Amino acid sequence: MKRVMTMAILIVLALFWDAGRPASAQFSPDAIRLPPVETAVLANGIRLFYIRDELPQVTVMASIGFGKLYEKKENAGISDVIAKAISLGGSVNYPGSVLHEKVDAMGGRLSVESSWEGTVISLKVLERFRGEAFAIVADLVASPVFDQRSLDTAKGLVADSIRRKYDDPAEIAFDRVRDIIFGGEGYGSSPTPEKVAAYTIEDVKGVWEKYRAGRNIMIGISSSIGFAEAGRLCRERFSAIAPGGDMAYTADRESIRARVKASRGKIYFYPKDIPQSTVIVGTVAPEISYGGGYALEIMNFILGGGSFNSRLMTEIRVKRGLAYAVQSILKLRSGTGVFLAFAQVENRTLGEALGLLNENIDRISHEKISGAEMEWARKAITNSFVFQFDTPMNVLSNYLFIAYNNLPPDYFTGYLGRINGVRDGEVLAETAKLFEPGLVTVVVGNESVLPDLKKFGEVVIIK
Amino acid sequence: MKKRMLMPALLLAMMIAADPGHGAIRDAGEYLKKNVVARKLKNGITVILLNRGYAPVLAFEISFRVGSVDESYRTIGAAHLLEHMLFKGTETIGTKDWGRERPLQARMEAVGETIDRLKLTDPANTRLPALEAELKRLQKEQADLVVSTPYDAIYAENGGVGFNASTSKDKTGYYIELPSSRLEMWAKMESERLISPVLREFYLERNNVLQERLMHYDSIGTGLIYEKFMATALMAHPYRHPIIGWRSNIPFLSIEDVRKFYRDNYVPSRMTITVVGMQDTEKTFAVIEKYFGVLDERPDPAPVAIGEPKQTGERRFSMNFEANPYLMIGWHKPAFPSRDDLTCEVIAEMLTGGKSSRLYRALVLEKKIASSISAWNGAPGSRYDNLFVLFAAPRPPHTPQELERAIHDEMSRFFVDVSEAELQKVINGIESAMVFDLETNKGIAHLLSYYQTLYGNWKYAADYLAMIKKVSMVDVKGMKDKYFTESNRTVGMLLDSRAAGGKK
Repeated sequence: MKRVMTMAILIVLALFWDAGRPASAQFSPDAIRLPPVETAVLANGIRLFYIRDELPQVTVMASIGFGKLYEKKENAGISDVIAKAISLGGSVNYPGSVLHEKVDAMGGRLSVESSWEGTVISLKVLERFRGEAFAIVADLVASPVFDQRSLDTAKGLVADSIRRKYDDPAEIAFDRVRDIIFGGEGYGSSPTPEKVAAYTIEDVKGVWEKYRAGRNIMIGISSSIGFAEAGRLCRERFSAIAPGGDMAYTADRESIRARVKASRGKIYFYPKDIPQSTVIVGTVAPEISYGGGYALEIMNFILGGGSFNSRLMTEIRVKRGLAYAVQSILKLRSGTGVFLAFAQVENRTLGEALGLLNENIDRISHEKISGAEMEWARKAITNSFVFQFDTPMNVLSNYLFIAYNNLPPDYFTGYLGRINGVRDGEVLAETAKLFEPGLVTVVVGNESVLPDLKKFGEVVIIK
Repeated sequence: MKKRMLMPALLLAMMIAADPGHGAIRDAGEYLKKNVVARKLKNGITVILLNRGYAPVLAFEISFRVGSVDESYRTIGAAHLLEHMLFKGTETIGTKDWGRERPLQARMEAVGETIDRLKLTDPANTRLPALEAELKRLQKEQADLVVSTPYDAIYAENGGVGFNASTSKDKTGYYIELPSSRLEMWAKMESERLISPVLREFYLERNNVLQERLMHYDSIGTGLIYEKFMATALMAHPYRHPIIGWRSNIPFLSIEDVRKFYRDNYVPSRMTITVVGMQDTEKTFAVIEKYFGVLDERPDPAPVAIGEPKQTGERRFSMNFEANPYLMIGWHKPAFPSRDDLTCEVIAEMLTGGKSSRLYRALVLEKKIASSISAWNGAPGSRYDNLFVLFAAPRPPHTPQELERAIHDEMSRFFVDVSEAELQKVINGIESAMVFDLETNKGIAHLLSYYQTLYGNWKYAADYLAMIKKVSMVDVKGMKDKYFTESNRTVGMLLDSRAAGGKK
């Protein structure tokens, strides 16, 4: 190791529930002392995050900054192919069948997955296999095999998973609405089996070699072994990886907003001969560092993200018995974000449900939220915050999240202060801004719903 | 190393002190045996507590040894609908004025039951439109007096997460995680919820259950084949019924039947309360005793008398749906904790547990005839004799028929040349899993509650590895002729209706 900078971070995060606020019930303040996360940076730029676990187990997780959000139309689905090819083909020192036999013989759990932001290689083993865990994960990162046989198998499996995804109406709806909003890139990356089948070894190697660079890699370790030993094992195994800067994905927010605006008044319809329809509406949301994001978190909690008492759940499910599944989702990420709201309803009541979705979104965009509702949402967010830190793995994930998104160190410690600092009028203003471009609407269902859909706008068949 | 800032020793000591098990866990089973506190209340409720973790939070689970297996033909789906109804409140929770609401509720039940009966016996009856209009009017009037989803509003405000419930063939569970300081609030709410539930908003919720069924079964090919498979493999035992109910009978589930199901089955002797997380277990027990000790002791309902007749020939079906093909193969076998069930568990892991397992390696990686394969030892329930089932997705262009033949070939080979190394791999996997399963309060609560509720002894969770280690190669090979035979087998195939040019 040429240069290692370690920093022991101790966060004593005191969370005070209902502090200074009237509550429905009075409770003493609680406090939580989190186990420390220690960090280090290897000479090649790889960032290391470590937390101690009381269980005799070791999890080594390497996140390489290349996931679905990085994909453009021309390489849609390639992150899934890369992840699958690594998990099947293994690495130079642990080729496919050797890797699988080794992991299973240790009783380990190996996962190689493409997430939105990264390709995550994770191996969990009992403490006595810690040496093997570091060696395997490092070798998979540094020297994946990418041979023709495993690539062909990987492509076949990914292609079949795409086909099977289209057996599920909810999956279809989510996939189609994101595709339309984001133009088939990043959040809207929408690979086809044919597209996936066309990737070559050069394609996957090219992506991997470009993004597998020191500063673009983060290692998370949750372990019963000490930081000193974990750091030593990391240095031994990961130092040979070439250095390089971190690589962020890009999202052209203006063209995305323009696309959403152009979809106003249209209903995109995907016919599927089933007795229930899925209706989903969505738009682009701000990025995670946007100051108004806290107001939007509160809005989403009240609209459809916060339990059975959210407005959509109350209006569509509880009061009218129209749907089992109703929800809204707001996800803010680095450089981009998405808002989605959906319901799954019987074909004959689709029109009513779509009307209620639109009506409630319109209402929350134009009417100030009541003080009682605001207070309920603030309390719920505040009092449940502790659950983001209730296991060592959760604590570690939060540190990785801060690092990946370049968020300020006080992102979590100051989070509740910022939530509670949101003014009522701010929620209305930010909500109006969010929905200003309009909404993209997608319906998956039986053709019997077409007459109802036509009442809401121009129906565009997208199958 | 350029810079190192060590944490103050005092703070480190505080953190360790707050974490009772820190650094001490070496063996998962021993850890549980040493730290779990289990007692019975006088009325028969079993209480299981475990103090752990560094965060002041608790995972709560209340479970009843009651599931869809306890239903009759008349009440298929009642256990699940009752679970939904227990989110609706009591005479004091979820109402603005029970005195005014009560007569509306009573009239609504009378009207609703009459509508259901007429729809079944005399759907052209001229009274129906007026009765339906009256039901709607009553629902509207009641809505003004109801505080909908009352528990959820209170729990959310108090930081609750994962407030939910589930119904299986064998058991019904109610879950939530809360800050530790909300222990007494939880006990007060949950005990009242169980002592005097009001089944308000019944007809709206019954329709939501129908929507749930459309979502999980009627719109999804794999949901439909699973349901049909169980109804084919099991001809008499109530495990054959779908937990959620049939599409035809859900709209007629009677509120009085659901209430009777509650009275008959939600009895203390079938109830387990599990609390895992940072707590003083003595204090927790005292709180639980105070609030749940008042539940009346009631007779245990009768066990299921119907046994599944021995299968005497292969059963086979296919079905068409707008979905990619799928295959299920199952064999009858006994339930946990029989030695044969444990042996079948070992076989399930040998066949499909991990990428080096027999069937995954042969069918997905080598022959490339499947895109997924998995095994479930203990389908669809575990209180009574059940099935060992393989689930497999053929990889295009291969058909379910080709995949089925390949599975049978591999299974035959497996019983001939299965090795000690494969057995050891399974043991290692289970040893690891027992440690991995201790990560979250919720996971531990569920594990302990499962064994206590289903089998009356949470210690199975601790002894599981030792039980598995008793399985021998002779046991494994002996399963072939005992259970994995053609005449004991059911095969189901989902075929893509689009492949034949349209829906069939």
